[in-house]
Amino acid sequence: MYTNILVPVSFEGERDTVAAIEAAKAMAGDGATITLLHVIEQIPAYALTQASPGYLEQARRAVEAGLDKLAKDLPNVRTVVIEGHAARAVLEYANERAVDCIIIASHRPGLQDYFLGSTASHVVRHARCSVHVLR
Amino acid sequence: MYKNILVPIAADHEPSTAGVLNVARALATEGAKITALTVVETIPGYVEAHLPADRMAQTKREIEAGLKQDFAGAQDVTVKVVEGHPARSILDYADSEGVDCIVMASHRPGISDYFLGSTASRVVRRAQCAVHVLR
Repeated sequence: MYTNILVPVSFEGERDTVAAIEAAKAMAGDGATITLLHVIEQIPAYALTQASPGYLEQARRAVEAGLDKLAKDLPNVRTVVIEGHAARAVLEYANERAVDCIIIASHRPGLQDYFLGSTASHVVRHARCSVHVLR
Repeated sequence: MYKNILVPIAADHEPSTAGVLNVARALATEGAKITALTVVETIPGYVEAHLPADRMAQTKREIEAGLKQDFAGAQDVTVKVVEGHPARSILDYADSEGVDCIVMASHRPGISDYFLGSTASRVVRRAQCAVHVLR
């Protein structure tokens, strides 16, 4: 039913990427494209000068390998790594590429984090397309 | 992928409920339960006192009949009407009935459909289960 689905992947322990991909498959129409997107947070220059040279390149390669592993068994899948602010980068990508559904994982609201994670919350509020929030 | 899906329908909903129903069906596993729920907003006691005694009960019956008519062609959907505060009643119903996914339209997206309707916004923040917001 959707033709261009975006699945932001954060590689954080609790986030359920498998369920997100399952939801993407359930809602994908014929010939739909699924994009797995990871946003690398920008590191301030003053911190970067302390890191070993090639650190960013290395991190990027590790992320790309992780995404490729997730994408292995999916048809019509694209993996993308961009740099930027997590929520804004997801929204910009969705607008530019005419994404019609974003599938984003959030944690269950507990006592401390009663509310949505800040990225999911920002995305669901400002996206122009449908958003599926997984818990 | 979900077994118990809740589809909140606003009492003043648009004539078409096809969009949310499509999503709900795509996400439903075989034999999943789909419930269409309308919340009739509670009228303050000082207003209700001025209405004929059975006014609320009658309104509830009318809304339920209308909802049943809207979903007449959908054998897989159970229709339910409750009285209360929209977002809270949806969340209470989801918790008490063990709902694992809520599918709702971003009602009245207003100013350049940027923001979420207040009910959808509250539901997506506070729900314990997955939430799909349709735009």
